[in-house]
Amino acid sequence: MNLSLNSFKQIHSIMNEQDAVLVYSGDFGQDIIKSMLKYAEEKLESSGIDDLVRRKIFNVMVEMLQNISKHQFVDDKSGARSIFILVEKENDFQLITGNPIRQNIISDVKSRIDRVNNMDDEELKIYYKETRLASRISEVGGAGLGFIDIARKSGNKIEFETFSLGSDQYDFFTLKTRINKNN
Amino acid sequence: MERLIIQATEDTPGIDFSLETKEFKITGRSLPEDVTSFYQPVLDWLDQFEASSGNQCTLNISLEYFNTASSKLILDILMKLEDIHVEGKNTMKVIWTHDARDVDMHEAAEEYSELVEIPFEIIGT
Repeated sequence: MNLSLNSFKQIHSIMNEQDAVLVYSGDFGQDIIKSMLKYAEEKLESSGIDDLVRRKIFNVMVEMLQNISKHQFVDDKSGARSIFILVEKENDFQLITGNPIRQNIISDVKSRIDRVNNMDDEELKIYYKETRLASRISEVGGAGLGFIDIARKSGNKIEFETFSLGSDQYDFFTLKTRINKNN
Repeated sequence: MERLIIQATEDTPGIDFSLETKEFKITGRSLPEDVTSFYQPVLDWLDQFEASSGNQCTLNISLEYFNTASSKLILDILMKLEDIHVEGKNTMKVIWTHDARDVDMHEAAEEYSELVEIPFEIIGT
């Protein structure tokens, strides 16, 4: 499909209005992830934000990006690609990922996020320790600790939503975390 | 026993384990794509070390970042060292150094120290 200059203008104005630090859509391999992390880190460092906030963003970003790289697949039918956005708002930084997800694992993913969202700091700490002790590194190289760690480091609830891709196998899954500027 | 040296990269830590200096070091950042294959040489080296005796060794950890998968492997390493320490042929000590301002890293180090029965020192610099 031809990209009209009007659509292009819309993309540009959304990125501007939203104060995007980084927007990426495409394949999420480790090399791309490293480049994104490096870029975000340098950009945040030069913007003079608090060191601790920068570390938290980096940590959460690693988990979110590696989550996609470990679980990504291409839904050929819809052609939906994975996406990552980091925006800076007045009081916080917001990190959002979107990726196609198999419909049959959605309820499991949702219940895992709901579970950490219902815990306070102390409960999360205990849950992290217990899960790590019992964890085995999966085939794709995960420890099953990502959501717990994101919840702990961000100190905020994890927001998520799914959208239909018009497929009978895949939906589009979006995940959002916020990291406060003043902790 | 041969010294184990792995150079640090932007997503993998530097490893320097030496029985000669009695110092085992893990430094830098640990967010490899495949943690199992990255840390396998370290665990293999510790298997060999377990067969030795009469050594007083220190594990120095100084990490700026680690991902959750690495966090599991670091626990595996610490538990392996705990076994060795408890067996009594070799004694172990852990020194975890972190940026004094990094409260998340301090908490992470504390949580490890609560899990393993090895003398454990946490230093904020």
